[in-house]
Amino acid sequence: MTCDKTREQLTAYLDGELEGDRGTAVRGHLRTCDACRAMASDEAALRDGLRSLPPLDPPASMWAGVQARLAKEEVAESERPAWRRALARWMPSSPRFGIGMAFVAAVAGVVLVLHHKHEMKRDMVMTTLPHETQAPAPAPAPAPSNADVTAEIAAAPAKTSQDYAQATKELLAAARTESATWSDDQKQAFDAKVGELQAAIDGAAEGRARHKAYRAMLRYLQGAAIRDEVALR
Amino acid sequence: MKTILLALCLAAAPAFAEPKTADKGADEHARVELAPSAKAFKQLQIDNPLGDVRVEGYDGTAIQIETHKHAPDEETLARLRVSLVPNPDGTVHIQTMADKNVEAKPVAASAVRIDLIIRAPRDARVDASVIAGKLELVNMDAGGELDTASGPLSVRNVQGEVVTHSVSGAMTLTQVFGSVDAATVSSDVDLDTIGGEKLVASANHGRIAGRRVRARDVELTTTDGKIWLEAEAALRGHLVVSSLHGDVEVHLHRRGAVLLRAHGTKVDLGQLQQQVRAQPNGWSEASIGQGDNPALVEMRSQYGAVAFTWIE
Repeated sequence: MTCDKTREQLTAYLDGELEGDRGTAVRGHLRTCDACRAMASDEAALRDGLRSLPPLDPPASMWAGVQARLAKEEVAESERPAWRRALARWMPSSPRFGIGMAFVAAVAGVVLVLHHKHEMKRDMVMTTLPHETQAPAPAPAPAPSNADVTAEIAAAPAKTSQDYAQATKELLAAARTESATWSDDQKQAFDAKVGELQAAIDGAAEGRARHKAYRAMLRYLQGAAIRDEVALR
Repeated sequence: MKTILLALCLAAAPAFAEPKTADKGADEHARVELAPSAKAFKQLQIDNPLGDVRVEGYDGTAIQIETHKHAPDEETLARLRVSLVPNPDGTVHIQTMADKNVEAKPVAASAVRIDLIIRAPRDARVDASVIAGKLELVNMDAGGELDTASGPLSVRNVQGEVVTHSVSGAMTLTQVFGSVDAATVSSDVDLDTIGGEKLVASANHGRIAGRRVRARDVELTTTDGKIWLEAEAALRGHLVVSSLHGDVEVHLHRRGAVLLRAHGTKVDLGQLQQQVRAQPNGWSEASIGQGDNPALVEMRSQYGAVAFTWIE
């Protein structure tokens, strides 16, 4: 029995769901492995503590909302032609099926949360603010038909890299202008350093690592173009 | 298992907060408190690409998180998530995201928001990043590293090492008592009451203004923007203020001996003008006060003017 295997089965073991030799194997491993035993002990303590939390019930209005939507859907269903109802029975993507699945998913989600609430961290106290009457939020900007927030967020690091690349280009041009007064050795040292920093940029993964590499390049170029650090070296 | 459950709970919490659909969108507010178990919270890592982050230090040991979500409709609101993952080493990772839902109608990032207000133990270090939202760090004792793309960045009453970066988000750092490294590409940097060992700030297309700067070593650099600095020079300290095209203006409070070096298209050293020694390399130098370990003040602008004032 390995640690990984034991940890996979730890929740089931603590829930008393492992029977026979499977439970024995986990228990045997816990007797010999300090790390897994500590983890099991933490988990058990956590459950004990969370059992004392008050029950977390969803608000009644949530169920009222679900029921109202179901009722509305049933009315709409009754008004459909018979052939469409028959078709819908065979097409799981139909709205009726979708609502039904949404209801099942909502129930499953709530059951899951309620079932596992005693497993949540003992000292985590979650409260929700009372429903507030708020000033209307600013009108959201219209969404482009082909752009989604997830795509925009995913594209943000590359956009930042483009901005850094533009700044690098400008400072590099400024440094080249200043290099007119440098010796050949100084120019070679500068080119070598820029090459090294550019390689670091190219080798860095898009995101924070690449942005950090760009900042190192910008700092060096500022020193070269503005603070005479190449010329004075 | 624990982390997954915590993330699940945070995702589920707004569901119990009864989202309210207004004519102009849907909003949800929720609050979570996380108390330390074995180890105190030592570090917060916050990534919020969807809105503002404000981190306030306080004297407690728990982390309190308020989330404010906004979306055009409830369906989109349900896609907005906040996950909270505490690690055994005392690090807590808070991440916001929008679920990818290929069946939902696309919604622009500007149409949704998740704003976070976090109260954290003062001695926790904070690493936080946003994209276009506002990023604020207030009343903390262990510094942090803050990163924005276009959102404004603000640090106030913070001790410890502070590192800030932005592409075009304006930076304001006030009452920072620790080393500062602030870098921006195309925005302004405002510094007020900076008292650490080292202050490094740079802006390519933006100005830098510093008031009540008492750092021992100061290095301010701009490409285009003006630099304005009011500072005290520490014994053996270095103040290096440089711009390629921008004007440079330094106002120095009199404290001990200072060696002043200046270079620009126009050099005005005020009341010290008569003591200036012109150097063969085009620099102007002046020594002020008596002492073996003078502070060095170096001001330069390749294509701009340089001015110095000695405040008695």
